[in-house]
Amino acid sequence: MQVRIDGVALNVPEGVSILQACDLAGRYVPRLCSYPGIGCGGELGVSCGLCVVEVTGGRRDSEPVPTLSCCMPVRPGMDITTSGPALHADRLRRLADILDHHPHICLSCPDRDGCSREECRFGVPVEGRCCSEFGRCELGKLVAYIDPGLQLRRWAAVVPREAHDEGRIRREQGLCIGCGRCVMICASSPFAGSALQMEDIVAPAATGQAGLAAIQRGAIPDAGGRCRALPVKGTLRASGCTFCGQCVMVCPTGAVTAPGEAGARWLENCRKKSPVASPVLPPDSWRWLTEDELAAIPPVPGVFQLADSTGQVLRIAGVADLSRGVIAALMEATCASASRLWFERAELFTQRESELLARYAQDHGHLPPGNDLGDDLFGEDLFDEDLE
Amino acid sequence: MTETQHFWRWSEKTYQAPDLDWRAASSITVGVDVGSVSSQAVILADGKLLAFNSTRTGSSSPDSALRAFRGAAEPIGLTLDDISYAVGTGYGRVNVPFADRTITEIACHARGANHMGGPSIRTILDMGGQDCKVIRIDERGKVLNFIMNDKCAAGTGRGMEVIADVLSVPIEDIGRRSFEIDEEPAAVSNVCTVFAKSEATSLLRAGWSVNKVLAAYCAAMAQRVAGLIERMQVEREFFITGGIGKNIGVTRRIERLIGVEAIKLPADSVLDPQIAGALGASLFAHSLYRKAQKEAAAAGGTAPGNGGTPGGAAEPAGEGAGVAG
Repeated sequence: MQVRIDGVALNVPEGVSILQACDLAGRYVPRLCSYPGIGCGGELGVSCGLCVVEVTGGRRDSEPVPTLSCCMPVRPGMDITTSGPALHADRLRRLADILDHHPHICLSCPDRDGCSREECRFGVPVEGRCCSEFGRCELGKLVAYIDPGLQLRRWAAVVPREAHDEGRIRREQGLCIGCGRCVMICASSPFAGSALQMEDIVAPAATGQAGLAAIQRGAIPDAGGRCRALPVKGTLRASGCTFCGQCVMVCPTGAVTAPGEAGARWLENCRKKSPVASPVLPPDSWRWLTEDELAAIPPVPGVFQLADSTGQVLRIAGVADLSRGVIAALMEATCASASRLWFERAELFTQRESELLARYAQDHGHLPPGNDLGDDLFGEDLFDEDLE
Repeated sequence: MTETQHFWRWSEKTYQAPDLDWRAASSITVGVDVGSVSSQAVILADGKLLAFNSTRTGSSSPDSALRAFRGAAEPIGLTLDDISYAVGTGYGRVNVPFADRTITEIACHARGANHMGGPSIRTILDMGGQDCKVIRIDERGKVLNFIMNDKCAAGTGRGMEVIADVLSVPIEDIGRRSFEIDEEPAAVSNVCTVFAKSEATSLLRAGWSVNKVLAAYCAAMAQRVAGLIERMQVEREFFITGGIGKNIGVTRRIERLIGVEAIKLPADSVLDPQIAGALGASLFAHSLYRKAQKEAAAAGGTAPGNGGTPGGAAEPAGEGAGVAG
């Protein structure tokens, strides 16, 4: 069936939601409760409301109607607008409600890159700082996308930071924003054990089936209902958790994590055993390696990362000339499959390179393949004894 | 006019192997580590330690690299033209004008520490001039993982220099003097280098001895670093590189805090923990040169002899390029 998305006509399969149609069209719409292959929080009555778009046609209305795109199926002839001042203001308002109850001050801190995370230069208490997912968390990326100009008030939102560890899974309930993803995947995945449920902190106007029905009629629930995900019977083990790790994979914050290097390795294994779809993330500064993009790289000092089409980072480097540095790196054998590029201007590029390498090593437990020195440079010191 | 004494000034160190004739060697490989505070050059002849030099980094990185090299090379009559292969490393690695290739200081410190401390070393604490890194390595000295703190000068070499100046204590005496106290004081709560002067002054005014203030600073630095080490979950044998590796006031307190004793260089060793990065770079230069020789031989060409590779790009250049037979 044909719809128009931001003025472009597009054929989409029947039965997809407006949000899925926008994804197919390559038009990113912010979302938190919705996750590919799982559904959206509307099913639990906890809609985040960020995916609001304006829809004209497909109904008798001629005026554009704000509509939650994740819950609403496309109808033939719909004209969908994904961005605009009114939509942006609405998303900001909803995001503000989330940030009121979630630590976020580090996102806009001048020391955000390379902060030791040990002591805060500005004296923000630990409870008000971002968690260990800082720099990786989806919510942070969403905040950067929706509010790049820092229009929202940023402050040290303090929440209780009590961690519950079971197996490799750590739950920090204070960090839960109540998007409902973990509850939905835990209930629907064949690998999971239906161990989680939502608990209201502040009840929304309409919940459950009534809430969903209202959303599908076009009503947008008032932001203000707040809830969080909890194990059905107090602990994960008592609730029948299978430790499949899928809740960790879909959580957009640090509320459910697998901490440390051991956790990262465990999660990588979980991903192989019980895979989940990749999240649809805000467009970042990664670009495809085309002739035009290569020609557009400025000849300035900076750092760059090369990745293959699956997003695996192949090489991180700081160079005096980005343009020459990228082209030289593309000649290296380990970068043969590179198809995406990220770069950033940095005068202190050797230091910035170390920062990016440290972050990568912490996330993956090893260095990117292109930064691994060849084995032939090690272990043939014939003259060791002479150096002692 | 009276001459001002610079208490932060550490002695620049140079070494030349007494019984090694580099003119008989088939390869001269060099590693140069241009750090934010100090620069080092290590020269190997056929993989054997020929000479090294450690000097302060000046305002120009290329000059500092050359100064470090000349300090090691000139006493034995070696010049840039005699170098077979050179590797640049450190914060200013791209500014080593005669380098054939650059390698990160993380990899070079790993390789150098592996060489100094032996294959059992699994963790390296690199306490540099302006940052601090904890590096985990395998038995060959290859980097497995690392973390760093580079946003704060407290707990780094530069921070220690400031303390030396503020308290008018020669930097090389700080470690020893910090133990000449009746009772170990609590660590100073604020290790900020910017506030070091007012903090130290107020402690002295409160009746603390200079040694006690030094102890409190060393303890605070050790605490900061121990936190970084613990984040890396270190249990096994570790080695300390970088200038602060020579300050027992900090290193012994780190050992106390984490409950693990660092592996030390033998007392009669001519090596110095501060040259670990340049040593690693020189070893990589040696391996890269041998690799280039093998490749040249396999390609049917004559193996390059001890020829010069003057100039050379700072970015990875062709291995063994510009070899004159």
